[in-house]
Amino acid sequence: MAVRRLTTCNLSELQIGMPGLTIAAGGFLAEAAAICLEDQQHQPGVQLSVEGSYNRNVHLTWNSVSRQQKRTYADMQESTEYGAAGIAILVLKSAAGRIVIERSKKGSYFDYWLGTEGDGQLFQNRARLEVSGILSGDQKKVESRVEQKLGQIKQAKGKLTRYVAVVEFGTPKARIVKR
Amino acid sequence: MSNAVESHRQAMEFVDEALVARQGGHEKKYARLMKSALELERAAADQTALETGFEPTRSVLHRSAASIALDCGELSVAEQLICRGLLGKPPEEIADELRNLLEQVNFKRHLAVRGVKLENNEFQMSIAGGDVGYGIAPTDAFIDRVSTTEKLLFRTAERKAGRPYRERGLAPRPVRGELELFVSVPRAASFAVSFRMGHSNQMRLPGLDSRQEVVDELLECLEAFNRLDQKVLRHRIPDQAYYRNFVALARNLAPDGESVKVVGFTSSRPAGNVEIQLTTRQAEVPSILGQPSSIPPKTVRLHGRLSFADALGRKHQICLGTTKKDVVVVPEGMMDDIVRPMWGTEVVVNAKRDGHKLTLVDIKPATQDKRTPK
Repeated sequence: MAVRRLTTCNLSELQIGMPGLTIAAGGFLAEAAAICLEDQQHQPGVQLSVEGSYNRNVHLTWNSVSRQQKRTYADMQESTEYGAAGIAILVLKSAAGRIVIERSKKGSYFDYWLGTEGDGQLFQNRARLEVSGILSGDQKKVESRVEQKLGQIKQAKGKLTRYVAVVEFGTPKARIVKR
Repeated sequence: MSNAVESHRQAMEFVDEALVARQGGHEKKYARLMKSALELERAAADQTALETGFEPTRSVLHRSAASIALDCGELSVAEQLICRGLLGKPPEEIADELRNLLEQVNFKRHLAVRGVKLENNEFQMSIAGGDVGYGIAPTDAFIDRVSTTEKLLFRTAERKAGRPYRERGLAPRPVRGELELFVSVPRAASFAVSFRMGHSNQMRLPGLDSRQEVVDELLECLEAFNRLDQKVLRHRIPDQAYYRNFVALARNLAPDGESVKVVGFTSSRPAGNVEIQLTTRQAEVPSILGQPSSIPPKTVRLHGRLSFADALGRKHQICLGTTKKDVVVVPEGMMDDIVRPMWGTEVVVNAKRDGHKLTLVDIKPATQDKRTPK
């Protein structure tokens, strides 16, 4: 049986911000991720199983959420999308050395553009991160969500480099694929 | 270009602040900050407008500014930005996203009640999609949704009035008197129609303060349904029969994704119109949403003509085909509004098996089932 790499990520790292992620936005993503994890009865230190292009287990830690925070994030669908983005960004920083350089508004949410600091300009030569969150679902649902995203890319001409990440909070697990 | 970079980053900061303001319930502050974000993101897009080779930056900035404009309700600005974004050489995937955004802008326009003032006792339903043209829609897609909306409204009124679930028969007279629906002449919006609730001064429905309360409750439940938010739905509809009935009816109302892509409702309020959009497709609604437990049941799939239904016996039951093999028990909340309209048609049934007993989980016409050969 292959030994899986084990790393640790603290959601509060997001609160430091990144070139394309303000401190406020990072804090928002970190809180949303913590809300979703606690909604699914997880405690800080839970193991996140990452599959796809970056197989590993990640010990996730965070500061417990207060009742007031829980009330603020009453819309769980929105929290799930933002929380998934927070976890995907942290995992990719640790696994691929890519950080958020820019963001752009896409419908109700954002897309995140990854790279290394100092290269490129705005969205030129960046990889796009497309994230989707599932509060609770089985492996089949995670895989089908990834396939759905990849299917859309396959049809597209003039492809951009992109990472597709689907985070499921029930287990918790994530599938991150680089294309 | 450095100005575009600076404008874009400031715009994103304003969006962040706006989202925090909205989380705190400060809607006015949210609107003000988003407006500032729009000015900056639009300025960034303007600076790249002539640089058609500067992709994906040019199209991404246009899409981002158009998304913010849509959030601000600036539909014309959004439209112009989308069209200009498409005029360049955007990567195919960004071009697709710009086109999707344009569809959303168009539908927002359809939700606006053009030249028609909705009264307090009126609300509008609009549908848009591949088979819906400007002022024309397939009769079944339209009539079924009108009928489903009426059923949902009556059931919501009865529930809000604290009445037990009515398994058969017409809605009680006070409900029909209070909420009698009149449908306006359809108008071109993609395709929109107003429902007017009639009123009878003699018949008041005990337990209900106003018709508006019923419409509010219905729209809020539909919004939670569209998010597939089981927790909120269960909290709002604790009675299992009403809950099951609501989920099944809302699924029928939802877009099929092809002939109808969006179903929208607009209701008038003193502070302005309230709009909701149903975008979750019928096929994306999991069976579990209508179930009493959050643990998915083991189900069997049956396919055949709905040829036998007993709504009079102690247990409501149905069976498919000519033999009484595989009799399926119909739980409360499903027979009258959901199963009965399908009698005599080809259906696909998902049923929970418990020993020899099969209990209906969901039922849909075979034509709506992707796994059924056409």
